[in-house]
Amino acid sequence: MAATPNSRETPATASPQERAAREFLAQGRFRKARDEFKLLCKIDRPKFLPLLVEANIGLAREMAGKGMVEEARQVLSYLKTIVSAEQLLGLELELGAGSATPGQTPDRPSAVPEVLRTLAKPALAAAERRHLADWAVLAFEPVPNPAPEAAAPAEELAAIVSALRAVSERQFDQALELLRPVGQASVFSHWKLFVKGMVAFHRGESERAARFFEGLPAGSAPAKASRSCLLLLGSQPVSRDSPLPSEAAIEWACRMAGERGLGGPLLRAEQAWRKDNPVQMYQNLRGGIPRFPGEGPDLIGVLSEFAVNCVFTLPPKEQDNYMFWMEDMIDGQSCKNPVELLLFLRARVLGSAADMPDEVAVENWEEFLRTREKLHGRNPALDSMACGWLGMLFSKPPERDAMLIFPFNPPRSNMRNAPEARRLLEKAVKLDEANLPASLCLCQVYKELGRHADRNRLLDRMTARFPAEKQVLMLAGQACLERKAYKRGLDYLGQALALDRLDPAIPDNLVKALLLQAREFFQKKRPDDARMAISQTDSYEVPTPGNMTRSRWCLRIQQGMTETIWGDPARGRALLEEARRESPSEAAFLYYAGLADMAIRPGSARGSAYFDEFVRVRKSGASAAEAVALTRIWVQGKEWLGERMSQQPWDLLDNYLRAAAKHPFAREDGSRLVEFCIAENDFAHAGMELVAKRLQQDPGDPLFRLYRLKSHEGVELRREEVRIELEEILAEAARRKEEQTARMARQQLDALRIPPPAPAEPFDDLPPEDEFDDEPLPDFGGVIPMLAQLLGGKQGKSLKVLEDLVNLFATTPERELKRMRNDRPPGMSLADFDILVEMARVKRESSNTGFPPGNFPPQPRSPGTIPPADSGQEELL
Amino acid sequence: MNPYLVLDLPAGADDRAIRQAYLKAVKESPPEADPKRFQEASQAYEKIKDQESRHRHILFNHDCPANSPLDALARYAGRRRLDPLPFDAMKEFLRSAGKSGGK
Repeated sequence: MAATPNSRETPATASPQERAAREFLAQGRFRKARDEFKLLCKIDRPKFLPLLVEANIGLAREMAGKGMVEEARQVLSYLKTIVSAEQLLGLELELGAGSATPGQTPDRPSAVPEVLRTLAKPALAAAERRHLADWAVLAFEPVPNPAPEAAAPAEELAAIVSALRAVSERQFDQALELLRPVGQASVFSHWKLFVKGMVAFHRGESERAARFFEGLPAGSAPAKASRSCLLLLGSQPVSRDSPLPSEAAIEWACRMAGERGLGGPLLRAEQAWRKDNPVQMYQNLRGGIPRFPGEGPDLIGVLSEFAVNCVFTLPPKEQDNYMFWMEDMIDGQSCKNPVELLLFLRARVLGSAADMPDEVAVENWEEFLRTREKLHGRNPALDSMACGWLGMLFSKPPERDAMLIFPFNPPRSNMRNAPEARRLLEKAVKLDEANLPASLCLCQVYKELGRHADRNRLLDRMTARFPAEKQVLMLAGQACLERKAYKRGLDYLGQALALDRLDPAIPDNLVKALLLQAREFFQKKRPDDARMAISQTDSYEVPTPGNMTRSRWCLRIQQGMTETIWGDPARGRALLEEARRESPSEAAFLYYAGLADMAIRPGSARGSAYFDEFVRVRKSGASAAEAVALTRIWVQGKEWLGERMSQQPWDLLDNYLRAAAKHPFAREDGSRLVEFCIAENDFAHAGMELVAKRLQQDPGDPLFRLYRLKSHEGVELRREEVRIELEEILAEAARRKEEQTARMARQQLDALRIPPPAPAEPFDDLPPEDEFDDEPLPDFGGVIPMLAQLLGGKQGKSLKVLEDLVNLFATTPERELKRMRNDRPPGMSLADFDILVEMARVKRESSNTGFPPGNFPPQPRSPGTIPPADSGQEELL
Repeated sequence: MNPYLVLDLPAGADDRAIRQAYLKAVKESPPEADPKRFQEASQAYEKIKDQESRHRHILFNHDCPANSPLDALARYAGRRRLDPLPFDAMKEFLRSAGKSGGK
């Protein structure tokens, strides 16, 4: 019989029935195709018989593939009545071999010569020839004396089998050489392609291998085999939507990767993963693979690392579920092996340490270290790093609890758990004195706990242990200044400077130290030594007038104040006059001098006459350009004075900013000032006035419109309003070619597109509300009666007034609130005022507008306390 | 991905062995020829180049090496030069594939 026409080519004149039949055949719907072609054969047998045969052969193969061998043989029996034996040889062999178990020789090994003779004839269709070729290769039987007409295919077959053997023996060059007899037109050409693909695969030539494998004819044996290789190559990314490979393909892929028995567990794990069930995914791996989980650099280790660490990539709800399951396994002592316990403990602490109770975190972490020691032996340096990390975590400020709305709680510490931090960090340092980050953090903890003697002793040890660490020397130097050991402090700071001449903080501290030393010399009636110390500060002078510590005019003010207050007032005045001449403006000089006076004069709460003069200067004309310098001086003043900073400097600067806002100003100056006001929330109102003024000058200014939007934080704005405004800002910024403004607007818009977190669902184990009806309200120290008094009998309009007050307080800076507290409405008690302030704070912190205060909406939880590889741990934590 | 795997090292390798493995990896995959592998090797080296880094990796590694279990298999294979199956196993593999359904 002649070779069948390509069944996928439908003639243009084909009838609808013929088209449908051909379509079924092309789609591999052999049964339907057969039924249609059977009917079509009655119309034109010569034309449709080959297609009927093809459909039946496909159907028989399909049945055989599903294990329906008897049914397939029935089809074969029918086919034998309508086609020659040659055409059916491949199918017959397949069905005969279908009952053989893998690895055994086919039922009819002697059929190979027959197959080769058949292949030598060109009568068969290409697909059938390929099937026969596949069968012959997979027989792996030598043909020592082929018939003359089968000599060529026999030689090609032998070449393929030899090449495959050579690949197994890593003889890759030889394998390629052995393929020479197989030409492009050979019926074994697809096997040649396969061997080339295997060579490239094992040589690590991934792209080349993938190209060979992807070029194999669909449905052929090597194409099916290549699925395992393609899985390992990852040439087609495995996504949730990509079809799942068969268990057999996965199993062989794993065997090529050196592991047996993983096909089933891995398939089931993948299925569970795609259904967003990480727990089931883990359980499938755990239950199906005896050595799982593992820690080694092998496939089991990689699967284990994935199966546990995927918890850090999950969305919050799935993450919580997975974490809870791990916790249950730990608490129920149900871990499969110590490695699993280790992995779970670590994941639990890394993922939840920020939220879990301190004692639980400590217990889990210490259990992790003990388990690790049992598995891998003692490792003091590692234990030190571990204890140090947890200690540093506890030394961070605590999370604010928005539920605590009543004002009767004790002041919050700067650290989450300073005593426990101390214990852990002391342990860390004891285990490994070379643990610098832990030592540095312990210094901070000692300071927080007021353990100055411990801190100083530790610093002394650290300076001996880390003589070349700038940070240690700086800390030691500063500690010396605090306890008035100025000479030693200068010594340490000098050593730090020798290590790093570019760090500006070091000469800043040296200037401070020298001036303090000068003061001490003056107090000890050693004016010459004092002036020597003062003059030494000149060596750290910098030429930039904008440097608020060591520019000439700033230095002169500090020197002049020291001399005025502690030494000779006349000399001091001369220095101050020089400073006034050198200063960028009168206002800057006066403000700086006032702050310096507060800092240097003991116990002073006022900035003396300088501030009074500053007010006069301000009244004669305030400018935004000068205000920029004043803001920098303010920052310097905060550094000097810290907690001692009184209301007065704030008042002066605030009034100056508001005065400057009344006049037109340059955009850049305005922007700097507003950025300052945003950063220093105390000046928020002044910032808003500057924004309003600028928008009077240029209503479309996109940057200032962004500032205006930001100033609405804490006040409820609908997301839609915000979105519309941001889009207009973005368009305007693009029009004005303001790239940075456009970028900021785009970021805020993107943040808006992330849906806000769903409202918290009630816990399932909470009883229904009516069960609480009979329970008395908890006693919050008398606040409830106060609230009741505040609101009792004040329904309706008065309640609205109170709501308005809370809304106002939510956007009012702290310092303003302090002022208002003193000037509160008549009849409102301090307690009433404080309640409203607390309620405003809660409202501000739980505000859920599209413009969350400074931050994007929460992202899936990640262990944010993990230090990167090259950082000092304490900087991160 | 496990840095020991990337650099083809046993779990307890010391500084010297790690450095040698890194240099070998970089020589085999220089940045201009194979930037991806070069970057992987460099990142792996940074994670375990000295004792402190190794400790940090043991304690704090939270990288997820893959996007799914099958992806983990592919990425593992991508890091290794896999040895061919022995001939008997290869025959079994090919016969098993030949009998399977689909394309």
